[in-house]
Amino acid sequence: MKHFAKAWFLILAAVLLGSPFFAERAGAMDFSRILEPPSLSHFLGTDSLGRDLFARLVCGAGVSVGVSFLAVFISIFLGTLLGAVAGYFGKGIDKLVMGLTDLALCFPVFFLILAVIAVLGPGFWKIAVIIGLTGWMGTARLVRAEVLSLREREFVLAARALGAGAPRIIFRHLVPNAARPIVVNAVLGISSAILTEAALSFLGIGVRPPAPSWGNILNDARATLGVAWWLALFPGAAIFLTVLSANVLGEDIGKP
Amino acid sequence: MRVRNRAFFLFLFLFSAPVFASADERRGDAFVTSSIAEPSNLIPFLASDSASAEVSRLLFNGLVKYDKNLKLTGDLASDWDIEEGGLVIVFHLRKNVRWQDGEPFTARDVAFTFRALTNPSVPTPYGGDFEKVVSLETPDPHTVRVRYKEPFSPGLASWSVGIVPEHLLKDADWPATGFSRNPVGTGPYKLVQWTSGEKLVLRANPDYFEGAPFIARVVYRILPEPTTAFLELETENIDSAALSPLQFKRQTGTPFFKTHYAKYAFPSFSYTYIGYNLRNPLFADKKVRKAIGLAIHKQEIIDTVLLGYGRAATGPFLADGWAADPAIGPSGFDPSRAKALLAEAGWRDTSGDGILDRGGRRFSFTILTNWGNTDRKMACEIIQKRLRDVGIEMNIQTLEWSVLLREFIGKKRFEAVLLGWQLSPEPDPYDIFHSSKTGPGQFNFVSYKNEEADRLMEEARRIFPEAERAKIYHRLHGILSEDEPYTFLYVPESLVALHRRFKGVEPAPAGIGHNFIEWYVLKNERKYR
Amino acid sequence: MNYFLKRSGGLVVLFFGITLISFAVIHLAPGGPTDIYSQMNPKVSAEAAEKMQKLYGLDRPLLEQYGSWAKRVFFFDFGRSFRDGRPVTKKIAAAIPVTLLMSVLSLLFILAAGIPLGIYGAVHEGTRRDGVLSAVLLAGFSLPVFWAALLAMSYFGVGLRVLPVAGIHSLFFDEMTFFEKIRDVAWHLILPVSLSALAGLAGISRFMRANLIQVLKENYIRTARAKGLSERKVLYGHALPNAILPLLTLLGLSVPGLLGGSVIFESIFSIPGMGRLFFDSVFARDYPVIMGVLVLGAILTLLGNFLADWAYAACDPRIRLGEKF
Repeated sequence: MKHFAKAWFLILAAVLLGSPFFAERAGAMDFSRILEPPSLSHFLGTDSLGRDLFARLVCGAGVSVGVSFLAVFISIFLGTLLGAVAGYFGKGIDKLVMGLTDLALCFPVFFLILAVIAVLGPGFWKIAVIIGLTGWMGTARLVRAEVLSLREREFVLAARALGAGAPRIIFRHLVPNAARPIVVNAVLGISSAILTEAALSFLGIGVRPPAPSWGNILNDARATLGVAWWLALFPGAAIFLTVLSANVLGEDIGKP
Repeated sequence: MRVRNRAFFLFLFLFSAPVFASADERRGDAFVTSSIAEPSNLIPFLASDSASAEVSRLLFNGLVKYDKNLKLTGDLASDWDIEEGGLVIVFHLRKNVRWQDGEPFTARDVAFTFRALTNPSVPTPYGGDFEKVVSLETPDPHTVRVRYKEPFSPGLASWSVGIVPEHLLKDADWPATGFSRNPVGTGPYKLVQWTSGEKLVLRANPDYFEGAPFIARVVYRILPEPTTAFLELETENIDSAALSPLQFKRQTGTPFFKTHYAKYAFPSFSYTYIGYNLRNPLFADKKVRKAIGLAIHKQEIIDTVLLGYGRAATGPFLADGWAADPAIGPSGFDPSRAKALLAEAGWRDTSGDGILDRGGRRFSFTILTNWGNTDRKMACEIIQKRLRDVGIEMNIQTLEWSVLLREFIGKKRFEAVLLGWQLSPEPDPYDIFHSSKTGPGQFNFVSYKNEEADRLMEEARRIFPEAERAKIYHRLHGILSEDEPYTFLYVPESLVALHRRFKGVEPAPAGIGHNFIEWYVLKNERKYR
Repeated sequence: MNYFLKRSGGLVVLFFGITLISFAVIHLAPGGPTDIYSQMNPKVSAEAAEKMQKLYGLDRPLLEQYGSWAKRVFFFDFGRSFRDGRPVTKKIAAAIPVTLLMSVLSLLFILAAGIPLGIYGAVHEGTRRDGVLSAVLLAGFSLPVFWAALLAMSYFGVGLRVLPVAGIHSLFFDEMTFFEKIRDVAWHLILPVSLSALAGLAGISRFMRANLIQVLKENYIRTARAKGLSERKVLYGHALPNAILPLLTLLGLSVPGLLGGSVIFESIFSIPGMGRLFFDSVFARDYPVIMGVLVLGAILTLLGNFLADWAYAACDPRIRLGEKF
């Protein structure tokens, strides 16, 4: 499993590096060859505008992975910052931040995302930011617990005695010590962000066309269900494999 | 003798169906169809969505209606007179029409409906049609005299709006009235059940003034997913559904489908177009608009997006209607002429990047369309590619409806749009192309202004005889085609599958639904009670 | 009791926050209520749109709108839908039973299958079977559910024609007998419920397995084994109760996930529940309904957490409510 996951991420990395070379092919339409099943010239078949599905999947990787990385970066950053601040300062600040966390946890996240996307309109950046803004709570709780348990330890007290300021202590001493769970959270976050983006695109409110994302291609597949199985199968499989790999890796890193 | 015999057999052949299936024999079964959305409101003049319109059409009647050939004919009015040179329309109402609760229908109901349509606290989108009405009188219970400020020929068709009962609505609290979910009309069917998000059940009105419909029940199942609707069709759980071109062409060839369903294709009452913001310097020049029109290969869009189920649009009128000038063809596909026109307009590729420029400005613009509409999205992508070939860069932005309408079109913050207009058999395009309709939120959002066109549209509104109006509209058609404020793209076809057990279906210019109350199912083929 | 009071105080603050967010999400964006299903129709005049704005008070200042809305929400009055004029509470009340039924059924399914699978994995920890089971569960956990739904629908519904693919009952449901009705609903719910349980099932059994492995390493288990208790007794009498407790919290936390998932399942399978109501309302900019569903979704989540906490406290002798520990 682990090796498989690593291999898939290596392939993904290669695909991301190679995607600029496929951009032209992904956009090239051939109206005489719409919805053709996999063949030698289009080995994953073509879509309803006669574009090569393989090239579109390659280009879509950048979008899907890009959105999720950006989203995770935002949520990890926010979660770490809020959690560390809450844990370090305690008292009122802690109450406030944790209250905010509880509040955010009350909402069915997907409802919130849906509402915001629907009113703001879809788009790469908006989706990434909104998935990020609704995904920081777990990290915040985790980092806070970690910081709470660390802040009275000798090395922190020593740093404080030496006159180090709060930001320095938080980011030089406390957060690095919580690095492993944060990384685990980030990797798992990527898998859930990819799923969320795909679900949004699948419902037709994801990243804007013609930019391909895996979810987008899958959305096109809904209209062709029963005619073009390849349009449903391959992008779904790409999402599945990526999410699975991220989960496997996350689990592996998380092992003590 | 032989001749008589033959005639006799011919007679038998022609009239055998009615002989073996008398009216009572035909009554029964249910027609289960799918609706992509839930109706919002069944009061005919409160709803602008097609789901509501489709249902309320079976529940209510207007004074007039369109027949199968799209000619206006009487509905609740048996006939009408046009007096004082078009200033007055007198409707003679049918007698013996009753509301579904048994109360008689009279001119008072028409007057009440009119008052509601023009009442500022009633949120109806159709009020505009009645602004020109000065007064409405009801000299007796079966006569309605409508007086207009000036002769207004589109006014007649506006009386196809569904009439509602005064006795049930006079104290109504608009718009939140319970009546919209428990409507009582004069129509061939009455609503008996409405389960939100799931279905509406209608039952035949035995006292319908044109005779009770044969099909006992009509069920609208709400299936928002076209894929699901199709699956339900394949498992015979619904009797009829609108199909996508792909479904129509590639998924209906199975022996099962062929034996159980008949397919119908007819031109829809709509067209899809590119509208240019004429206030934008980029599109102020007619040559540029014409060049774009010539650079787009319409047939290719029709073949790819609609899989051939459609035709090129030439203007803003129903393609086969009386208002369209049949002599006007679509603008052809001619990229080299497009390039020449652009060059004449001063657009040249001086920077060598493949995109034309003029005075340092690259020819690049953004086209807006509503998202969720796969066909339009695909059309945009094809056009994008063709325009790139003549050196124009077109970006595509898909926006959610309300944002698109309010923030971009309503405020004229756009360069070009790809959208569609619904058409009705009444051709008056005044709201869309008259220069007085360019205000914020009004429909001439491309800001088209042509004095001759203005004059023609005003004139056509004052004339009643169709042949004379047609002449005017033919000229208008020519002007619009020459000016090209819109590039008219295509008229898609309505594609429908219908279960074969329904008999009496008669395709006509109005589609297949026009004689729905005459459809029937033979006893041995019935599926539901 | 003190514990509950304290929590209730927190709840009031939370509730205020919930209304604020629900309101802000919708009102800070461009656009307004229109009917998305209507094509552009020249007969629908521009004046009509303005008329609507006035009628619904959308031209007043935001703070004022919030104030009057929040006041009414406090008395559980969410106003009337823009789309059809029906009271929001009525619309939600009509939609929520299906969603709750599906959620409860899939929770039951998750528990009924997830716990045994988790126990099996924990007992066979490290074996080949455990490895395979873990891998399969992880795969289930990673499956994009909408994709699975699409494939399952086309296979079972169309390919084999054994299961219905839309709605929760057959057409003339009202004319059925009681038992026919139950059978009919069950038949319709098989696909959506089992699919929506899929991801949760994997999560719960993985969690169960990890917990049980942890517990089995505790001292008291060693003591119990040392006492000479049978492995069965050790497992079911001592280890299991302690390993199951944390599941309660997880179940409480799974409420928002189930609600969120309902959007996807209900739209794929055309089920008239809360998720679909929300989805449709979002696109019609039906503000009162959107805000109502958001607030109610949050309340349900809170309720889920609250119940889980309560059950946890009731079951775990180490937590004494109201006492400091």
